[in-house]
Amino acid sequence: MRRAFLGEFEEVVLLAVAILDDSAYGVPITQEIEQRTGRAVGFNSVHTTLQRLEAKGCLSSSMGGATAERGGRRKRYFSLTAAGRKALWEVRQTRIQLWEAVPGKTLQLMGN
Amino acid sequence: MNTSKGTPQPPRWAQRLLAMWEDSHTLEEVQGDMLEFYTHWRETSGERKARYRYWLTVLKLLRPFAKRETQPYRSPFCNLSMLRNYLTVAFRTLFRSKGYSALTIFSLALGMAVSILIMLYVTDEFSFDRHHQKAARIYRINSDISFSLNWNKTATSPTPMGATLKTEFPEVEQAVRLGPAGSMLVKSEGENLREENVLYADSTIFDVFTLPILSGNLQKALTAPQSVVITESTALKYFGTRDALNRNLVFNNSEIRRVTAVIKDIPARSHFRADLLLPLHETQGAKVNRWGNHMFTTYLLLRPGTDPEAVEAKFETILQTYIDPALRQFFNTTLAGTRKAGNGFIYTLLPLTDIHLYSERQGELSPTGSIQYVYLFTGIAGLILLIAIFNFVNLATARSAKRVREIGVRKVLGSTRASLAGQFLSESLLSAILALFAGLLLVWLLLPLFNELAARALTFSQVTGGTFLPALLSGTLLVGLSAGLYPAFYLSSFRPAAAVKGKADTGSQQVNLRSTLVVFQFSLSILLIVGTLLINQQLYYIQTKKLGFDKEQVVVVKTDQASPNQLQVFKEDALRYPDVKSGTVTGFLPFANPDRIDTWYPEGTTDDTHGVPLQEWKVDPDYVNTLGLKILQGRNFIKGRASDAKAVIINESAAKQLGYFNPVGKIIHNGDHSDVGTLEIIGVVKDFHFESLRSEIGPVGLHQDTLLGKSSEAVTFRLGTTDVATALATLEKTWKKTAPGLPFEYSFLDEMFEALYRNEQRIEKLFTAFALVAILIACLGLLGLSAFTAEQRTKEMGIRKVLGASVPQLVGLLSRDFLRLVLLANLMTWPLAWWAGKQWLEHYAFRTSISWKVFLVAAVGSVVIALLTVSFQSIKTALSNPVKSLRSE
Repeated sequence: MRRAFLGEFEEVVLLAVAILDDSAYGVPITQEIEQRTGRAVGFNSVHTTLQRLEAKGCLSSSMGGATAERGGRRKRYFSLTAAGRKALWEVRQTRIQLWEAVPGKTLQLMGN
Repeated sequence: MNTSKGTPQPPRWAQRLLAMWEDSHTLEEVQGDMLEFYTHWRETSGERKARYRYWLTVLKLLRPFAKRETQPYRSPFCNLSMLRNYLTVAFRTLFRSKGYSALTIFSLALGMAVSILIMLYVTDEFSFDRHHQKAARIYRINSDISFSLNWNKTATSPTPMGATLKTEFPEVEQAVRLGPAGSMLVKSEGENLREENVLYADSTIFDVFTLPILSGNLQKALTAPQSVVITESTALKYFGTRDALNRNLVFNNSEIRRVTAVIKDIPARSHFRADLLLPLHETQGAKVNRWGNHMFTTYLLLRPGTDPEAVEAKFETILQTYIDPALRQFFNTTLAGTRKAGNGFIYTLLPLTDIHLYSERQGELSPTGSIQYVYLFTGIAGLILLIAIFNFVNLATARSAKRVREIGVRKVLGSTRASLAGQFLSESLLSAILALFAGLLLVWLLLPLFNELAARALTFSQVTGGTFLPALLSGTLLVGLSAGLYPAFYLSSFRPAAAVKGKADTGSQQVNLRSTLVVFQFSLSILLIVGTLLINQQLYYIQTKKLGFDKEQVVVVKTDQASPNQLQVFKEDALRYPDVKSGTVTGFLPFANPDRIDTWYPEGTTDDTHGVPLQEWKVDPDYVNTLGLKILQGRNFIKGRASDAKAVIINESAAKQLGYFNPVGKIIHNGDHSDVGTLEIIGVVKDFHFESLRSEIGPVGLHQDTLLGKSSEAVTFRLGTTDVATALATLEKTWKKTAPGLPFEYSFLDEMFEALYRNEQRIEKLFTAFALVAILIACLGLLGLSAFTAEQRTKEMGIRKVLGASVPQLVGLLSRDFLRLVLLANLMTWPLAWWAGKQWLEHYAFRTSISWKVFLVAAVGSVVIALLTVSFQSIKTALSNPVKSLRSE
């Protein structure tokens, strides 16, 4: 089976979608990432990453929720697929394993 | 859209840019999101900043090449790079063996050139009369009429037919009659000019046919008294301007007619030719308007959606209502009566567009073409193309031995059979396309020659124009595929393991196939050679046959429009010159198409079964001598004897049909019991040929008559000198003196006779040309094959030579196989050629026999040509130094 490799930004976007749960579409995802990570994220990069993740099968999307402030246009809501959840989980596992493998004194030196 | 002042909108141009470039699948939500962002930015950082950020984000979103379609699998035939590779390899293969490639491409080009020329000819033949807008609804009435069991098939129909049908059949929208007016002398101010293409026409001609008008009023053009309609070029000829309306033309020095309309020239691809149109209603025939007269051709314009067969079915009512009374009145019989005797009247409709190719009747307005020739030439084109395709197949399979390794390596490297076949097909397609260009060049070069041979006016622009081009391209594709198909599948079938070693079964099967194809190529060539020889022989037979009259040194002076008195004076004055041996006044020369056939009966019967359809030729007493006819029984007319006015001289054929062994003194009559209806036979002349040798000699009766009508059309002189030019000058001087204002026009009897067979001569030339091309292509193939065989056997020949074989032995060894094939082709073709030749000769009542010499010449010719072709290569190999061929390895 092919493993889904996630880039760092992809991981962040996936997590943002997971946090937002039912209301994950372009605008709140961007704002969520900006607020939580404190870095200035362009909508354009979020948009392309969402597209890419959907092509990879990590996200699925559906249209809905047109409002007046959007000029009557619908939103594209994203949600995690099983593969997306699995990919996130694997990244997390790898991180944890890596952290656990780090010797104690090195951790101390890192100022923890 | 976004013009409401209340809520500020994001920059219009940025929005537009976004709408243009963003992927249509995601456009909606992106626009929505951007709008939300814009509102947010405006509220937090102000309008200006918001606009700026909106622009920036939009620009960043635009990544026209960012999203690529993932490429699905594509078959190698649509794969551009694969195709490019095929093409590269094909070019390399072609260039690697330039000689062979040139051979195959040149022979394909020759084949294509012949096919293109013939296609041009055929399209031309099929394009007749299609320029009339209503062509699909126009039909001509054909008549099959029989009196005395002699069926006459004519293109003409009864004079009142058209008008009657128009009033009685609702299906008929319009009718028009056309009739030839014969040759006329026309002048405006200057000299008289002779016009041969003068037609009588009803004024309805403009409703039926499409004849674009330049000036004048079509409605009244042919109804006004003394009117004439002329074509553009006639107007230019007589008046020097197209604007000839209301100018006058003088016909035959007597009749003045006013130009009432000028029309565009009638296209050459038309079954009638006309430079001048005269009102038909002014003719005597139209005034008499009898059902019995079949003088004019009648065309019907049917209403849209009418079934012509339904109209044909209703002709019976016409027969009952009109023909039957006419028969009772003029022929003393009834419709039922004539039918009972096995005679009758059948009227049918022929579509206008079929006239040129499918009709060959008496009274056609101009000579028609023939669908047989269209089929024949199409067949020949196909066969020649086939010979060229075989060359390709032969050389490709023969040279496959050289490519075995290449194929093996390709297969080992994972090439599928289909892609290998694709590669070889692209090679043949490339050859075909190159051949097409070469062929087009050949067509361009050969077109003037072909036009001369086929008597056409085809232009090269027809090749590149309109519907021809797609046909040409698809034809090329077809040729390329059919030539490449067998080699492609054969070559791609090699087993890789054997192929890499350079071994492939280029075994007996391939040799057999090549041999078969060579035999086939030569069979076709031999067939064409035999055909050419046969036509040649028949033409020779015709030209040397004793015709029953002497056609040498006879000059015919055309004298239409001269008065009887002028004719007599001219004849007598001319005879004063010693070089003029004799002369006769008559238009009835031995080439006349049957002008007037009447039924004559032996004395005492009026029974149809005894009636003889006799051509009546009106002549004077000098006719027999001048033409050199031979009197078998009885005597010639005696000048000045009054009783000879009611005498007739018949030919043998007439005597036989009348049933007389001793016809002299017998009386014949034509059923009309008046004085002019009986004639006494005073002599019998030996049968002489007066029609083409295609038909039997029919019954002819010569009798004296007043010098009017057809009998005044010519004065014929027999010359007794080798100085023809002086004699002609003398005749001209005499003519000018006797008939001032009339042109001096003459022709020679032997030339007029030749003209009867112009069609055969044309076919002979075309056949010769085609046979040459076929042989040439077959030889090109043979040359390639022999070169290849010689190359394959270089080593063998070297060893043989070292061991003491002589050069002739080696040449024989190399040529023997090919000669065997050519001989086989000869044997196989002879029966077919003999049968086909016999079929063709059946068209001639008088024909040469097929002699064995024809086959001998074809055999020797083909063998010699093949030998020359093969020996070129085999001698070269046989002469080469064995040291060279054995040196390597």
